[in-house]
Order: sequence, then structure tokens, then C-alpha cells
Amino acid sequence: MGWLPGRLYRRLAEAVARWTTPRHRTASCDREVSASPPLQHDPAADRRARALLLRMLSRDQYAQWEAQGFFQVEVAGRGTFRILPRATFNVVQVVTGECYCGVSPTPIPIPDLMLAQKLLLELAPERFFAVANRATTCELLTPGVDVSAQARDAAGRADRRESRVRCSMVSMLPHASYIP
Amino acid sequence: MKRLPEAQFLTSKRKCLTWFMRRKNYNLKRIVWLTAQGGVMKIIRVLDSSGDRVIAFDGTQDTAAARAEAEALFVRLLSGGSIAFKVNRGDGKPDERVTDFSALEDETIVVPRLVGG
Repeated sequence: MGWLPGRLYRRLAEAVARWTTPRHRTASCDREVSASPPLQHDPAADRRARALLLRMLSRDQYAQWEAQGFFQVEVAGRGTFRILPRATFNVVQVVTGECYCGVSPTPIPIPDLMLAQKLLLELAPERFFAVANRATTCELLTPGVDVSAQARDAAGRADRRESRVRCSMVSMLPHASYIP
Repeated sequence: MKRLPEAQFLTSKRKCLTWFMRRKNYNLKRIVWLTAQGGVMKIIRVLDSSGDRVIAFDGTQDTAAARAEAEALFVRLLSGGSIAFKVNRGDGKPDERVTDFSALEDETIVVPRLVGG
């Protein structure tokens, strides 16, 4: 029965993924809808993106990815950052624990997002830090703190979603598509 | 004989292949596309929802149209906020950001504009 724990784990992760999907209520109706267009999980795109990411990793980063499921990049003058396979707040400063969130406005597979973040952090860090939202670990763990204030300001206060902390921000569970 | 689950089998197969290629000193990172005449094609990988979109071209007359199309796409993407990086440059050269189409080398990755999440 070696397959049972993996199957249970996958089901648990799928449940967590469903639970953590950001939702809000529209002004016109009381129906809950997704906050952003739902990203259809495309296994082929994911495989392709993952292969490209693995090809771009350095030897150390590849070993770390194989062993731990994430990799680290060195940013000149800012220290070491860990890039996790998550959709939000997945760039973590190793020493301070500060989390950065920089995402693509168009849906891309998570390995592509990780690759984009890696290249930006290594070769154009000023571009990444200019746009990424920052949150400390304490802020993520404290309910009620609005970590999306910067994005809300950028939208001209038009975004009236209630602030919340998503489990994906604090959980170390990998994304559902990364469970074998 | 105990049958491995498919995902586990594929992972093992990939690890074996990787181990073999590393042992034989194959360069796992540098993959180039060759033209019919044996020249190296330049490729641009644009990260998108399908994983990545590949545009290949070279300096010959046969692919002049593809080159012009690639240049137009490159300029359009960069003007839209995307950033391009030269990767896998060979000879141990580090990756580098690139803004000029004429300076492209064998492989270029164009990452989309990122916004605060």
C-alpha cells in the first residue's frame, strides 16, 4: 500500500488549494466569484516550464531543487533570497524572513514565474524590487494586516476586497501541481 | 515484481538519464538549434501560459522573414515592459540582460513584466 500516503497527500493538497483560492463577493450580486481569472492547470505547459527552469539553474541551485524543492539566488548588496514554488509571496530573504511578491499579470506556470524571478533577481534586481510587494513574516502571520495595500493604492482604491492572509502565503505545503 | 507508480518511475528515469549525461560530461544546459547548413539558429523563448513560445531565426536569406518578425516581436515585448536576458552563452560567460536585437546570441529568454502581487 505504498501509494496510499501519496494519494492522501495529493487529496489534502487539492483541498488546501481549493480552500486558499482568493474569493470575493461582487458588488452587483451576492455570488462568490474568483478574484482573478481562474488559471487552468495545464500539465503540458507545466512540464515544459519546469524543464526550462531546471535547465537554467546552476549546479548548486539544481542540487538544492532536487533535495529541497526550492533554490536560492544571491543578490548583490541584498543577500540571499529563496524562491519557493508558490504563486504569491514566494521570494523570501533568508536572513530577515521578508517575503516579496512579484507576479505576472498574465497567467504563466509557476516554474516560469520562478525563472522570471531568478533572472530578475540575478541580473536586474532593481526592476524586481521596484514592483514587488514586501511583507514581513510577522505581518503574514498576523490576521487583519493588509499586505496588499500597495496594490490597492495602485488601483486607486478601487479594489475593495477585504484584506486577508492566504494560507498559501504562510504554508510550506507545495502547490498541488507539484505533488507526484 | 513491485510496480512503481508512473510518476515515480518517470522521476527515476530522468534521474538516471541526468546522472548518465553528467558522467559522460555532456553539457546539459547548452542546447542549440542547428540549421540545415549546420549553422546555429538563434532562438528567443517568450515565457507565457503555454510554458514558453520559441521563435527561431538565423542570419541567412531563407529566414529573413522570420528574423524580421522576431525583431518586431522583440521590440514590441520590450516596449510592453518585458525584459530579455541572454542565457547559456557558452565559454562560461554569465547570463546578461539585453535590450538590442542585434546583440542577441544563441538563446534569449524574454520574461513578462512583473507587478506587485
